[in-house]
Amino acid sequence: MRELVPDLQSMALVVIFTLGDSFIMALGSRAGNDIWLAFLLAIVLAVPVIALYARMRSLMHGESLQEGLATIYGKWPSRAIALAYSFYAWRLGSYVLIDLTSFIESISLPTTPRAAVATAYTLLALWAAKEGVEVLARWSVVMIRGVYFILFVAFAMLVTEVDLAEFLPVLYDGFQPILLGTLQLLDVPFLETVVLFWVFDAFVKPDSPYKVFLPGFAIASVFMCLIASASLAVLGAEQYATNYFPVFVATSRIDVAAFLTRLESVVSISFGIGGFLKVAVCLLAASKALAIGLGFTDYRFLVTPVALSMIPAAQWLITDMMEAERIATKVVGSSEVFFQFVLPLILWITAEIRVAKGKKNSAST
Amino acid sequence: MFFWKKIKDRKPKGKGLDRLGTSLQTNLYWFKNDIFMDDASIIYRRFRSQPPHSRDCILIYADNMTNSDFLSQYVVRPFMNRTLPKGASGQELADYIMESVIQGDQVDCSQSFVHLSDAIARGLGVVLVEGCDYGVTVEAPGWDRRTITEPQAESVVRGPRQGFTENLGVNINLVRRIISSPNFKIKHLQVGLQTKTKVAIVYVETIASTALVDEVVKRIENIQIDAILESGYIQELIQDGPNFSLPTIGSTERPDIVAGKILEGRVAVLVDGTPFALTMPYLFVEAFQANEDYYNNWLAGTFRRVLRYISFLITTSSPALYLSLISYHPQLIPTPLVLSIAAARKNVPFPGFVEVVGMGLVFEILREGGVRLPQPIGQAISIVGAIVLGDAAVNASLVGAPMIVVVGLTAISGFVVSSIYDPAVLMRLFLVLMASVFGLHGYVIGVMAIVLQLSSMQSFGVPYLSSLISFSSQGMKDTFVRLPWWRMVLRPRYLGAKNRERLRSKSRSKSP
Amino acid sequence: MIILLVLGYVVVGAFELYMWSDRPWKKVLAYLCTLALAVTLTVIVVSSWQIPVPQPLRLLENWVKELWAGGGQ
Repeated sequence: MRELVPDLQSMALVVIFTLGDSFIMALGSRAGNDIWLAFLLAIVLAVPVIALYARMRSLMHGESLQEGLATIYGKWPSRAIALAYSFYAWRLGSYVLIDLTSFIESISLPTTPRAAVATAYTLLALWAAKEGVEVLARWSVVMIRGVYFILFVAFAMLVTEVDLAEFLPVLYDGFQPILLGTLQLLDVPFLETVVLFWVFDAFVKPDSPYKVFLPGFAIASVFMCLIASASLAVLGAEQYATNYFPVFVATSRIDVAAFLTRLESVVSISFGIGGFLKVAVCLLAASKALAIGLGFTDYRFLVTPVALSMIPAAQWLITDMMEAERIATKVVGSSEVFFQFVLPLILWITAEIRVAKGKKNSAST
Repeated sequence: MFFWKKIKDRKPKGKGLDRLGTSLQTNLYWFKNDIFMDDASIIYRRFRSQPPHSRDCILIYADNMTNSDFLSQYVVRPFMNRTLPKGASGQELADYIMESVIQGDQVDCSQSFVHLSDAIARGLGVVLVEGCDYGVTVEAPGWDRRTITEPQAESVVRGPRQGFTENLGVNINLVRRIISSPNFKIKHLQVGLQTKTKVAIVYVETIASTALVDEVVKRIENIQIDAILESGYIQELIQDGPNFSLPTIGSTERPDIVAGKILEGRVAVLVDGTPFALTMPYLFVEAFQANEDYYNNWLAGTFRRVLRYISFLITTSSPALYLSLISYHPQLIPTPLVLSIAAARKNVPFPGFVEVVGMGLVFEILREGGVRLPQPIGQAISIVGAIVLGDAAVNASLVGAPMIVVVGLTAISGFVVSSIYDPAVLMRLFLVLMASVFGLHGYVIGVMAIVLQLSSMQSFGVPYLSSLISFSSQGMKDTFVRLPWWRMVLRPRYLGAKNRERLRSKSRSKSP
Repeated sequence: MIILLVLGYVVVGAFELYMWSDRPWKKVLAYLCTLALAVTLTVIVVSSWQIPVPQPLRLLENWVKELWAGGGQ
């Protein structure tokens, strides 16, 4: 059961996933007014890691994810890896669900129970995950136009509010805040891209993974950099860091001829779209990885229980708004570093060695 | 045509005869007293061939189905003027009759009672000759046809004024006259155990993909149903998977539309007895394309097409958006407007949801009531609708005035995309439900769900949203916009056409 | 409330199992285990026992914290 997705459609999926629910939050707030530097640094640092993810997928070309993992790492190690990442994707999905529901609760539906909103989004994600990555990629292509449109319009109108002086003085506090901000950005959302490693069954060509992951990531991250910088220039560094949803607050300042006001609700629509896709992709990745971990070729039968477990998990992982704000309070989580960087690095090195050996063997025989 | 029902038992009863004998008397007995018993519309015309060796002959045909002038001129008269060979019988005699006696275009012979009685029921003449165990069939269609007129539901300002009729042959010729090429192919099939409806699959051989044609033929051959009364039967039986009523097969009454579609690599199915041709695969964008887009100036065509997309958005979304704005997010509406809406709804006792759903329902009832009524009564309905349900309902504080505006807007824009009117109503209802629970976010969830459904749909293996999700310029050129013909060099890729070039460059002449 | 929710899970599980075309025991087992996880989580959340979320990689985290003196939480 291999679903081939055209590269450009996969790329749209990567873009919306990377934008996801995160762009509306105080991304990289530790960097203060040097946020754009932190962004640039984080992008530069993230590209090699994402290229590494792509390289691993590229090594598996010609086989489905399950077969590829098994040939490179052997049967049992590949299952263990899959189970570990299934957990990671499941937890990430729950976190995104928290962000999504707490945002909606605090902004527009204060009286609706949070679990109801979470259930609505999860049921939709359940359906999407059952339809599979092919459908989800097509969905992304349709939706990405809406997201682009909304964000472009909103930020074109924000231009009058931007005060470039907010970025000055550059490097006032030295390099440390920038480094902290960079680390924040790498953790959330840049390297969460690792989840996508588990979503695609197969790629069209051996170099497709690069063509999908790298441009997709680049587009999304530059977009996020512009959004975050513009919001910071509107609000100032202090407000940017203390607000839960600075982008939301920034767009609420838009006022064109007293008619086009309150655009923040429209921006929150694109947040809903991104957040939903991220939940769906995490759910898909978690179910797929779980199926691989348990040795099944079909993942669809596992989607429902995994999705249903994400709703209470989201309630469990969160105790209050402060914890949901996983970016503002924390620099980097240990398990994130492990799943996003350490484990892929180990896997990649192993893969390169084993593939090289395999080639030698086949060449000698 | 009522006697068609009579042929319930396909074999003659009694002895279980299925082949003709050599005795004319016996054969006639079976036709008269068994197969077509109690059927007054069957004519039995007796005559004798020229002596010497004159033989008794009989011509059987169904009254009014067959052209009796033609039969007496070209079947009966040659028999009377000719001597049949002495002693000939069986196949030999039948061949002689077909080759040298009867002067008709489509002549055939058969030994089977079933074939012959089917032929009579279809309107053919059947000649039986004494001493011959073959019956000869002659095609002489004589029933009345509707003339070719412009279809009422698909009238155009600019474009050909021809529409399909109920006759399959005429319909095929209408398309063939547009595509006069030997590459235009027709496959004939027969569907319906009782109706034996003739179905024609038409396509252009050098363009349509072979896999697609085979798939269509396979799906139609799989149909086992007793009757096909309209092409809608076939449409429902061969279309892809369950879907929420969005069409995955197109239907049209216009030959120019059929020609345009099969020239892009699609396949069309024409069904005898219905003026509606089916085209497949049918994609979402086709609901927004009209033939006039291509006949008029491309800029005007583009404008109208964008208008249709906007209308679709309005007709599906406006009640849901109105509802979520007034009940969840009044702060999003500019202050003066929110005040006037609140004033208008001050005396309305119902919550917004009841108001929206109620008015929507009333409008749909009005429309359904008006559609099939004769013109004079239809006008009465619209007056009732306009006055009683508009002004009076507002004055009686049953609904707020803004609601009337929303319903009106929804209705008018719904008619712009009339080919997907019903699915649009269902989508609207779904979005209203979602918006009533979660406000604007519910609306967004609803839209995402609809897009998800559309993304998962396929029509004959082609993704339903194909050209909408294409990034290439050749894929987009006929989606939101209608580019000038000199830009649409290639046929759409997603149909898998064999030959993608549709326009030779330098076709565009420029003034020097 | 808990009983209702658990009942809901049972109904969903039974319905899904009913819809399958074939039921190899391995698949059923995996399905039921995952569903049991969901039920457990729901019970934990709804009954509001304050069970802390387990942190399996706490050691690593402490190590990172030491490395990034002041940079951690």
